[in-house]
Amino acid sequence: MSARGELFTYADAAAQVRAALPPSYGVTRAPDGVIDVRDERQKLVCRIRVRVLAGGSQWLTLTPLRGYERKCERIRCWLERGGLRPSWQWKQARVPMVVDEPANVAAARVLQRLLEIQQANLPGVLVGEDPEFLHDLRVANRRARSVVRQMRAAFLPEPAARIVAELRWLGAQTGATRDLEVLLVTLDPATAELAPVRLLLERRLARARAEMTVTLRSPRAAQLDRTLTRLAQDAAQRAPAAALPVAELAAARIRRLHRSIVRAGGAISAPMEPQAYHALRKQGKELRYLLELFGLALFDNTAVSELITALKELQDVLGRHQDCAVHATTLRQLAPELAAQAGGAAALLATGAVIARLETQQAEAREHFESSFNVFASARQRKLVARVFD
Amino acid sequence: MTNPQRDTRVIATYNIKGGVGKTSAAVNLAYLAAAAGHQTLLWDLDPQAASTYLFRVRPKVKGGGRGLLRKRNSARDHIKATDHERLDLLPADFSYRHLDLALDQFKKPAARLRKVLAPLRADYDYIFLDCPPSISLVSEAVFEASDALLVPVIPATLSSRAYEQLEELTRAGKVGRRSGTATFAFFSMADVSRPLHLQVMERLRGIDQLTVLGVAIPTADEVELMGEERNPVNVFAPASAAAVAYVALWTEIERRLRPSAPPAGS
Repeated sequence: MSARGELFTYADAAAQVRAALPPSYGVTRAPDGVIDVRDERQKLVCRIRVRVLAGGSQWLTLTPLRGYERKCERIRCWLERGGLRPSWQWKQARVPMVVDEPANVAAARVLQRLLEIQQANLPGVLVGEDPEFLHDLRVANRRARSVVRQMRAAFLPEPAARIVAELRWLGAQTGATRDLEVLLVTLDPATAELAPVRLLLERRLARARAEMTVTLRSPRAAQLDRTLTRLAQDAAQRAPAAALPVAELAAARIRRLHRSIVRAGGAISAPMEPQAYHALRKQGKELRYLLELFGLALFDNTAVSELITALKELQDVLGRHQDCAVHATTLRQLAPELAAQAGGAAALLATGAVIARLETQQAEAREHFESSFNVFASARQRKLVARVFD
Repeated sequence: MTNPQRDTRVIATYNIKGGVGKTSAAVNLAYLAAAAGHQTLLWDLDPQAASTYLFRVRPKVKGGGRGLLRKRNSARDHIKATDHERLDLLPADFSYRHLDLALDQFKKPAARLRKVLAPLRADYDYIFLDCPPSISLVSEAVFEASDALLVPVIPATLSSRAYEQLEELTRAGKVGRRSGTATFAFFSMADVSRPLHLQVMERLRGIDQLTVLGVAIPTADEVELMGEERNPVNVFAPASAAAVAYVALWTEIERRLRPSAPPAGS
C-alpha cells in the first residue's frame, strides 16, 4: 500500500521533523511538499517528500543525496524516535491499553485507529492502481464493525448501531470489486481458452470499480469520516457497562465467542450447506479480531498467540472453502454470456474445468476442516482459553 | 544514471601559480554545466580543499588519495552529491599533498588519473578537475587525463610569467601531449580600468602557442563572496558582472569542446 521505508504521522510533518533532529541540523520547506534536511555543516543531505492523505495522515519518503545514505539512515532513526512511525506499523491496528482502563475509552481508541486506517486507504482505492488499498480498507472496515459489535456493552447502543450501518454500507460498496479482483488473480493466464472469461470478468470488474468509485465520491462517502468520528465519540460516552475494565469485557467476549464457535463447528458435518461454514468463518473472524486487538494487548501474549495460530489454520480452511464457493458461483453466472460469444464453447469447457477444480478444492477444504477444527476445539485450547480469560 | 554512450569531456582548471581563480572557475563552470542539464562531476584535487569547502562537503576520502588511485572503481564510492542538481563532487583529502608519491608507485604514473576517471565517464558528461598550483607528477597526470586545460591568468606581470612558463611547457610537449587535448587560457580577476591589465592582456593574446578565450572574468566582490555564501556566483548573484562573465565563458568553452552541440538552453 505504501512504498517500503516511508514514515507517517498525523502531526505537522515539517514541525515534527524539526523537533526530532538535533538543533545543529537545518530543516527547510522546499516547494512541492518537500522538506530539505541539512546537516551540521549546513550541507543538504536528505530530501523528504511529504504526501498528505485524505485521512489526515502525512507520509514521508526520505531520499538521501548521493554519499549521504548513512546520514539519512541516522535521520530516519531520529525521526522514528521523535514519534514518526514506520510504514509497517500502518496496518497495525493495535493500540496500547491497560487492563483496568474503562472499556469505552480503550474500545473507542481501537475503533478510532481502525477508522483512520480505513480513511487513509480511501484515496488509494479511488486511484485503483494497487488492490492492496482496497484489501486494507476492507479489513479495517470489518475489524471496526467487529469491535463495535463485540464490545457493544462499552458503547451507547444508538450511535453504535449507526456506526455499524455506515460501515456496512461502505463495505458493501467494495465487495464486488474485491471478489472480482481475487477471482481474476486465481485464473491461470496461460490457459488461452480462458481468455474470453478473463475479458468478461475484467469488464465486470471495470463496471464494479466504476460504480464503487462513484459511490465513494458521493457526499455520503465524503462525510463518512466526519460522521464516523462523531459517532465514535458519541458511542464512547458512558454506556451502562462503560466503566467495566476493558480486560474484563474483552475476556468475557472472547470466552463466549470461543464457546460459540466450538459449539457451532461441532455441529457441522461434511455434507452441510456452504452457508454453515461461512457463518462459522464469520464468527472466527470476530474472535480473531478480538484476540489480535485486545487479547494481545491485555493478556498473556504467548497463550494468545497460540490461540491465534490454531484459529488462523481453521480460518484458512474456511476461507478457501468460501472463496471456492463464491468464485464457482460467479463463473457459473457467466455461462449464458460466454455461450453467446465466438469461441464460447471452448471457453465454457475451460470454465467448467475451473469450476470442477474449485469444487475439488472446496471438497478438500471440507475434509481438512475436521482436523483443523479439532485442534481449535481441543481440550488444550479450551483450557488455555479458560486459564487466560477466566 | 550510467550511460556507456556518453561523450565525456574532462576539463582541468590549472595554473602553476596559486590564487589566480582556478577554484572559482572550476566551481562556477561545473555549476553552469550541471544547470544546463549535464551530469557533472568536480574532483577537488587540491589538498587545500577550497572547492570541497564551497560545497559544504567534508574534505575526507576514506583510504586517502593512495586508496583512490589503487582501486579501479574506488572513486565512485567517494562521490558526494552537492546541493545542486546533477552536480557531484569527489572531495579533497589532506592526503592529496602526497599524491605525487602515490602516483610514483605506479608503472605509468602519468596515465593513472586517466585510468581512475575511466569508469566515471559512463556517469558524467563533464568532469572538472580542480588542480593544486604546482608543476609536478600530479600535473602531468592531469594533463594526460584531460580533454581541455583551462588556465586562468591574472593580467599582471607575475601571473603572466606563469602563463609564459605554461607556454614553454606546451612547446616542449609536456602539455597537450595527448592528441585532442586543448589548452585554453582566460583572463581572471581582470580590471579593464587599469592600463597595466589592458597592456598585459594585449601582449598575451599575441602568443601563438596558446588559445586565449575572448571572455575575461572581472575582479568582483561576488567572487570573493563565494566563500561566505558557499555557493557558485550564479546561485546568489546571477545578475552580477562576474556571473554573466562565467556564463559567457562556459558558452565559449562548450562551443569549442562540442562544436556541433546546440547552444546551452536551446
